[in-house]
Amino acid sequence: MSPFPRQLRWFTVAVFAVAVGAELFLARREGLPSAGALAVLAGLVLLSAQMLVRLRDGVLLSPGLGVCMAAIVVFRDEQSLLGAMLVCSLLAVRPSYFSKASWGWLPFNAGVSALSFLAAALVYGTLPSATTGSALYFVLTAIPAAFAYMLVAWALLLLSYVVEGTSSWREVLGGLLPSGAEVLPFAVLGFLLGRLYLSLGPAVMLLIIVPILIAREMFASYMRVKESHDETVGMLIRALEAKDRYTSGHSERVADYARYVGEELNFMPARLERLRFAALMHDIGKLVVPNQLLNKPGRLTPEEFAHVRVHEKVSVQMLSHIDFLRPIAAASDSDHTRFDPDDPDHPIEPYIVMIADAYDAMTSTRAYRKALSQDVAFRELRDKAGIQFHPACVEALIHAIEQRGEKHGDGFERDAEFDNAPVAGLGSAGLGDLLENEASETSPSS
Amino acid sequence: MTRRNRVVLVCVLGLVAGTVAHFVDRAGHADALTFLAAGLVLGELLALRLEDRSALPLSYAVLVVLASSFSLREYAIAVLGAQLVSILLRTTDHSRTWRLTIFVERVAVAAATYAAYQGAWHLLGRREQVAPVLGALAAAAGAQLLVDVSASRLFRLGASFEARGRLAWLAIASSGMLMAIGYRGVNGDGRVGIWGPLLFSTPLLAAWYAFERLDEATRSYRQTIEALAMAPELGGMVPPGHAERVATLATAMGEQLGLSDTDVRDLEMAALLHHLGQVTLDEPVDERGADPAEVTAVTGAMLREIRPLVAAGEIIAGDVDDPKRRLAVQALRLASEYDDLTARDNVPGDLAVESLRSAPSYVYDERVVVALERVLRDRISAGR
Repeated sequence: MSPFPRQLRWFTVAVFAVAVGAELFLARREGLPSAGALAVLAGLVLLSAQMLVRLRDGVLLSPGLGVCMAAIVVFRDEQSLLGAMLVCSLLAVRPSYFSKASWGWLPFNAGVSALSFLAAALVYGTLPSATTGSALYFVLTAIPAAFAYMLVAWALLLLSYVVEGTSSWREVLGGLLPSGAEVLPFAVLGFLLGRLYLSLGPAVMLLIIVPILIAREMFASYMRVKESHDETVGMLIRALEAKDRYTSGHSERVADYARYVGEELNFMPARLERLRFAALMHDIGKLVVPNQLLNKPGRLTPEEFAHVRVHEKVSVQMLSHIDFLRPIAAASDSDHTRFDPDDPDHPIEPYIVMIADAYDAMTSTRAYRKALSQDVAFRELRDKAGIQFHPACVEALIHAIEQRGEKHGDGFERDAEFDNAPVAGLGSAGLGDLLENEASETSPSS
Repeated sequence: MTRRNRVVLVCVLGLVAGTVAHFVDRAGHADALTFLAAGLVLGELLALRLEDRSALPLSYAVLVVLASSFSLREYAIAVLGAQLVSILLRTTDHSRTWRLTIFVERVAVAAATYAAYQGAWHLLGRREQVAPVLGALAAAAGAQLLVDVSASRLFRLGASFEARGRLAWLAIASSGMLMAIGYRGVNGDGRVGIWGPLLFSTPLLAAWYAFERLDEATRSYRQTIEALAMAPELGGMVPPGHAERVATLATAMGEQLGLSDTDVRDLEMAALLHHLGQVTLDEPVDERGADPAEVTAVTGAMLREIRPLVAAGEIIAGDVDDPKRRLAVQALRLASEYDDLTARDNVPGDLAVESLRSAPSYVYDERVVVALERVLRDRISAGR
C-alpha cells in the first residue's frame, strides 16, 4: 500500500465531512436502519473487503462491490439510504490501511465509497420497485445505479489525482475506464443477491462468499509459486554470473531490453512475462561450459570457441523442457535467431531476445574490449536490420530507449569492472577475443 | 482446435440454439433447458485442476441446477446430449477408452445427482422453504462427490480429495447450490430464471481462473527445476537421467519411511538438484572428478538462498536436526549411491544393495536400507 500523500489531506477531510454530514442528515430524516440487516451486511462487506483477488496486472476483483449493491436493494426495501451508506463506507476498511503511513486512505476511501453508493441508491430509488417482478427488468435496474456509482466515484478519484498533482486527468481516466467493465457485472450480481436476501434470508449470501474465498486462497498459492519461480531463476542468474564474471548483470539487462521491445509491440502481460523469462534464461546453457573457458583471459582456440558455442544448444534443450518457453526456446540459438523474411511463421520472441542480447553485448565492456558507444550500437543494429535482425524489433528497441532517455555504452556504464579493456571493433561483441577478420563473420552475441 | 476456440464455439452455438428454442417453445422452458445444456458442455471444457493432474468439471454445478428444476426426461436429454457433444469436443490426444470412461463416470455422477436431489427433496417433505431446498441441493452436491471419488478410484482416474481437491469441491458445490436457488427460487421467491445460473457462476469462474493460474505456475516451476537438474547431466558431469532416477527412488523411499508430504516434496527437490552446484565449480584438472563434499556444500549453499528450496538445501548439505528429516538426508544419499552403482558402474541392483551394506564406510540407518529394498521389491512385483 502506497503512503497517503500529504496533498490529499484537505481533500480527504472535505469528502469525509460531506459523507458524515449526509449520514447525519439521513439519520435525522429516516431514523436508524434495522440492526439485523445492518449487522449481516456490514459483516459481509467487511469480510469481502479483505478478499481482493488479483486477476491480472492491476486488475482486482472483490465481492465487496456486489455486496454493497445488494445492500442498496435490501435497504431500499426499508426505505433507508443511511443503511446503504453506512454499510458501503465499510468497504474502505482493510488491514493495510492501518499502518502509520497509510491510515489516511481509510477516511478517503470511506468517504468516496459512501458518496458513490449513495448516488447509486438515490438513482435506484427513483426507479419503480421490481424486487418481485420480471427478472430481466430487475437486472436492468442495476445498470443506471451502477452508472451513478461510477460517475461519482470516478469524479472524486479524478479530482483527488488533480489535487495530488502527480498524474494528468487523461492518464487517470485512461486507468479508470477499463474498470467500468468490471463494475457492471458485479452491480447486476449484487442486485440479484439483494433480491435473494430479501426473498430467502442472509444464509443464501454465504454461498457466494465461499467460492470467492477459495479463489482468493488459490491466487495466494499462485503468487507464492510465482515468487518461488522468480527466486529460483534469480539463483540461476547468480550462478551464471558467478561462473562468467565478464557478463555481470547481462541477463537482467537483456530481459529489460526485451521487455522494452515487447511493450513497444503491444504484447499482453502474459506474453511479456514469457519473454522476460526467455530473456533471463537465454544463456542458461553456459552452466555446462567449464569456468576455465568462460574466464580465459586470452584468445579462444577454434576448438574452445566451438565448445563454448555448445551452450546455445544446451540452452535450447533446457528451455524446451519448460512448456511455456518451448515455442521461444530458439531464442538461445544464434543459428535460429537470424532474421529470415521468408519465414513469416517464425515467432518474433527469439528475434527480440537476439537484438536485446546483441545490443547489451555491444554496449557493455568486457575483459577483451571496451563498450561501444550507444550511437555506434544503434547504427550497427540498423545496418543489419532486415539481414540479421528483425527490422521492426530494431526500431522498437531504439525508439523505446530514446523515449526513456536512457544512455548505454561507452561512458554510461554503471558497473564496468574492466578499466584496462582494449578498444575493439563491432564484431568483438561476441564470446571470447575475436580477431578483426573474424569480426565481420560473427554476429554480435553474448 | 484450442480450448478457447471450443469455448467460443459452444457459447455461440448455445446462444443460437437457446434463442431458436425460445421462439419454438414460447410457453415452455425449452430455451432454459438448452442454455443449461450448453452450460453443461461449457462446464466440461472448464475444470478445476488438482495437484495430481486430475480435474473437477464445472459442469457438476450446472447438474445441480438441472436436477432441481427439470423432469427426469428433460434432465436425461440435456445430460446425454451435452455429454455426447463433449465427447466430440474433447481433445483427440485422449484415447477412445479414456473418453468412454469419462462418459460413463459423468453419466453416473449425473444419475446420482438427480437421485440424491429427488430423494432428499421427498424425505424433507417437498416443503418450499429455504432449509429443505438447501438441504436437497446439498444432498445432490454430496452425491456428486461420493460418486466421482468412487468412480475415479474404480477407473483409476486419479481424482483426489486432498487439500486443493476439497476446496475445489466446496467451490463447485456452493456455486451449484446458489445457481440452482437463483434459477428455481423458493416458493416463487428469489427466482430470477436463467439469469441466476448465468450471473451466480461468476465467483466459480473466478475460482476456475485462479485454479488455472496456479496449475500453470506449479507446472512451470516444476519444469524449471527439472531443466536445472538437467544441467550437470548435459555438461557430462553425471550420467544422463541420474537426477530423475534418484528423485523417483528417494521419494518412494521417503514414502516408505513415513515422511510427511512436505518432507517428501523437499526430498524430491533435493534429489533433482543435488548435483547442481557442480556446474559452478572449476573443472578438475585430473581425472578424479569433482570433490563430492564440495559439490554438496556448494549446492546446499545455493539452494539455501532460495526460500522455497531452503529445506532441500538443508537435506543436501545434511544440515538437519529433526530425526525424520535425517532419514530424508540418508534416503537421498543412499538413492544417489545406489544409482551411481547401477547406472554408472553397471552393478546389478541386489549386488549394489549388498555392496552398500558391506562397504567399510557403511553409515546408513537400517530403516533407510530396508526402505530401499522394499521400493526395489515393489518395482519388481509391479513389473511382473
